[in-house]
Amino acid sequence: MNDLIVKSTAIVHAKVADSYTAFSGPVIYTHYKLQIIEPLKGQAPAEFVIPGGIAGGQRQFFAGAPAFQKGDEYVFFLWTNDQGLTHVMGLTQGLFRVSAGGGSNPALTRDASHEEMVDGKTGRMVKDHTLNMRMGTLRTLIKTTLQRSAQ
Amino acid sequence: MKGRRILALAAAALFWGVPAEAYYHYDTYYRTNLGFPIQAKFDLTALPNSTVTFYVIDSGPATFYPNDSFGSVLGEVKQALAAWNAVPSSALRISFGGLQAAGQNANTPGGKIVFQNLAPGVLGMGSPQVSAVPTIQGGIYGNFVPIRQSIVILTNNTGQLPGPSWLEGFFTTAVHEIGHALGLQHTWTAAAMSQGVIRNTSRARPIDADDMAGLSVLYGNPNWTANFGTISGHVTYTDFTPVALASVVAIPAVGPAVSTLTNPDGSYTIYGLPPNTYQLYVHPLPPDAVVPGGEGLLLPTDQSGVTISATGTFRTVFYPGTTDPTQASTFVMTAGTNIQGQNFTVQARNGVPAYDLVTYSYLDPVARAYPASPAQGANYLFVTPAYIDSTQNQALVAMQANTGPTVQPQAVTMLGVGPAYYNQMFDNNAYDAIYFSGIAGLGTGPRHLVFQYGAGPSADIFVLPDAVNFVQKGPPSVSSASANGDGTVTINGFGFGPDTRIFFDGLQAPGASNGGSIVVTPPAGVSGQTSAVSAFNSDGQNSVLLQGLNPAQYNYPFTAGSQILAVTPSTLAPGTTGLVDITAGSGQFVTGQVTLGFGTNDVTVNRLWVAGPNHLMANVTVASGAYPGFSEISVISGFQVISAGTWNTVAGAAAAFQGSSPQIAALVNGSAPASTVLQSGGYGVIYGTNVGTGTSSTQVTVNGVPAQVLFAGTTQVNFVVPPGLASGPAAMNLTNTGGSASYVLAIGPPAPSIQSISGPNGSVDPTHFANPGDILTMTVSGLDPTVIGNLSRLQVAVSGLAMPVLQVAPGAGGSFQIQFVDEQSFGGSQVPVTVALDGSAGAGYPIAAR
Repeated sequence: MNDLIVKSTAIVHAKVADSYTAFSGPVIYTHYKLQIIEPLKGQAPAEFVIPGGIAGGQRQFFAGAPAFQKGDEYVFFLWTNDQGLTHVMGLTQGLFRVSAGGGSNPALTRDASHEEMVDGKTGRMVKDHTLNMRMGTLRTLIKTTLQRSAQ
Repeated sequence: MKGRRILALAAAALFWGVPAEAYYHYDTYYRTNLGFPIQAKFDLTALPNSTVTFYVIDSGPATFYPNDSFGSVLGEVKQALAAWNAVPSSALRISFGGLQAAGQNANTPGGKIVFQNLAPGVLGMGSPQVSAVPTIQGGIYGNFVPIRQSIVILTNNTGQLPGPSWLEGFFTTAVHEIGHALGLQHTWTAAAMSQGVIRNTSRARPIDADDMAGLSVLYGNPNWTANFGTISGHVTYTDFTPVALASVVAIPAVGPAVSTLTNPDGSYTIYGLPPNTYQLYVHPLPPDAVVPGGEGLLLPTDQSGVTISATGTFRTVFYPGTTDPTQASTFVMTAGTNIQGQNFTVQARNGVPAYDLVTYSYLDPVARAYPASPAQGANYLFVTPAYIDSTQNQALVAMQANTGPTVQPQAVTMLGVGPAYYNQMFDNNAYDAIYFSGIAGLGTGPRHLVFQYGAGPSADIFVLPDAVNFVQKGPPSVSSASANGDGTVTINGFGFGPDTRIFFDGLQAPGASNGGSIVVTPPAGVSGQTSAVSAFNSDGQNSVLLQGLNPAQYNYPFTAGSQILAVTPSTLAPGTTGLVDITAGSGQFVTGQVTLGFGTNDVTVNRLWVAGPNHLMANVTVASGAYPGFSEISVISGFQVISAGTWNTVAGAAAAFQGSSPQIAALVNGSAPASTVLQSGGYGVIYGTNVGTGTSSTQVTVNGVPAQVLFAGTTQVNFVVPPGLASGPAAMNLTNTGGSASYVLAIGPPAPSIQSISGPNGSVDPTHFANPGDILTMTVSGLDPTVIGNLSRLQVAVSGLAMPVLQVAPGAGGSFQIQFVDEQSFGGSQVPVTVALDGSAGAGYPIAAR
């Protein structure tokens, strides 16, 4: 989590407003436009990209690349490269889904890849590895982590 | 736990890892036939010589780790492509084409490798490119969705993982992403296409039987399955509904696992099983395989593009329905064995007990050993996947879930060995320490673990293929690299053997072990370049395990840079094949280390010869439907990346040119039509269009010496190769009333013939295996005895991959014995061994190679 916060160039609470696809060199990227709700770190970018999609009548699909729908609401941990393209950190690692409701302190869920585990002795579910926290907690975590990192 | 190899390979996965889920192939189904996948793949009939050529976009990485170089990166890419090209059961050939300018157009399918700024945590990516609406194409290879072009994205900064380029992880990442580009998705067998966290591949075993089977299902040679076993059946739940996308795995006690996923109707067929005795198990997709948001597995679709989902989780069982591997059925598979009707009935459940376990071993950096009882406080390194020293009777393996808490299994079994005698949680329950005994003398290679959880109705298992690696010594280390003044370099260190390969950055330096040291010839370097020197053994260990990012280094001398002086001709018309001659200044061209490319998939280098340190000759074909215009010519020699100007594919020239001019398609040995190496004084045969206009009007010269033309028909010309020509490439010119054409022919001695091959355990043949690291001895006839004084004239290859020749000695009855090292794994497949003298190779000798 600390690495996510420190290495990201921007962290934003935002909704996916729109999307389009375009080639960058030979690679198709899907560009997701952001409707910023709250910037949490850095300057909020207008959009981010995910490799893959359909453009020019061609389709590319990269394993591990998530897809979004208009209106999807997340906290995005973003990283802008020197070519100006903004990516999601670690693809899915930098995504916290925002639950509806909760006012200014909604619940956040990272759909970690490893959410289901069974107790080996009882056979029962023992832990969901999905990471849950409140927005307020994340705000504090970002602030303290950046302060420590600056020292 | 932190360790060298963890740092190199797994750290990103541990903290940032991109889930590596996917499907075996990229599949489409007709709703009316859910048992027959239609895969996305390259159309072999649209590829020149059935070869897909990958080009590197010439901008290369923007940022390099200190002393890392573009030449090193290209060397790794070339080797990664060669790994896939060495699958003997596949008809698809894969080649490296050099550099390509951004935006280059071509009409021939191919692949591009680009370097882009990947977000932290993303090691690389690969994708086939197909039409937006899947176009199902029929043909002699059945229905498929054609791949028009493939993309591989590698890091733009080799200063971050998986870089620097000389780390093994950079190579294995490239292999993995190229696999995607060829049409493969992930499996869970620890092979190259496995999800990263459980992958167990190396330079010595870059791809495994599962990868070979996956590639061969797409591109297999006719009747390729006859050399392997096949097993099939159905997987259903207890209520008889089919299980879609269950992973069915055939696993031997010793040897690689091969797997497939069930079709939407629950049916499965595992092809490509190397002869062995297998057990069969079925497991659900791990929880991270299909998650909301479209991440991970690219699910199959129907012909309308509607996604077909996986069904739910179930208990993993061995056939016929047990969690105890000792109670599981065994299947003896030989070449051509086809066992059908092996049906599983599985019990649905929520979740799985484990799915992303990682094994570690303790490496004593002083003794270079893996102790079974590590001393407290010692400064051990932790390496993953775990190595076990099979010269000892006992072993310790640490195990940890990659994410989340590690659930302690009730029992752990090593297939072919037996249960662990003790396992316990330690270190705040983060790791499980597992102790095995009775392993002394069990040889080398990967072994598989079965973790058992719970009992009774809730009992479940997790099988981790290739969980540990048996070795018989510690990793190598390189202490120094010293120039000898004759162009060679002596590498000193520890843990070397005849199977040790020395790399300067990402390029192998050929050489031979000399007791405790190895004398190598470095790849052609850039003036003043500093290279990291590392050693790789056939048991999968390498010097980075001990030395990390502080390797021994070698400083190249300061020399004049190479430059291309002339490329002749600078154009060929579409639909033609011809000789292209390249001369350089201050060149250091060495056979096997040079790549020549014309920057477009429409121009194919059929064969390249190094005619001298400053001289290249190549037979080049321009596709008949080539996209007209300029493209980039590149020459890559060792670490030297040399721009060689531009090539012009002339628009509209094809029709007029082809009207009457001779077009050479092939030139073969008239006495041995399967060979393209001719003997001086022997017969040559030219095939093509308009090649002959009668013997009186058709002239052939070789290196300017007139040849006697025996027959000159429209599609074939027979001639006598002039006597007295030296071995090596020679320029052949054909002239008739329609024009002229040039071609490179290879002059060589008679090809040696392999009579037999033996290894440490006796004969090696299609039924007796060679193992990685074995020193093999082949008996050959017809070998020029003077080769004993110059072993560089000999090339021994296994499935097309060059192997080091140790020595040649006279044998009985005029035969000779050639000793060489099998330094790479071939997953138990049958592969050809060839021996060539001055490029003149005889027929391949089939062996089985693990």
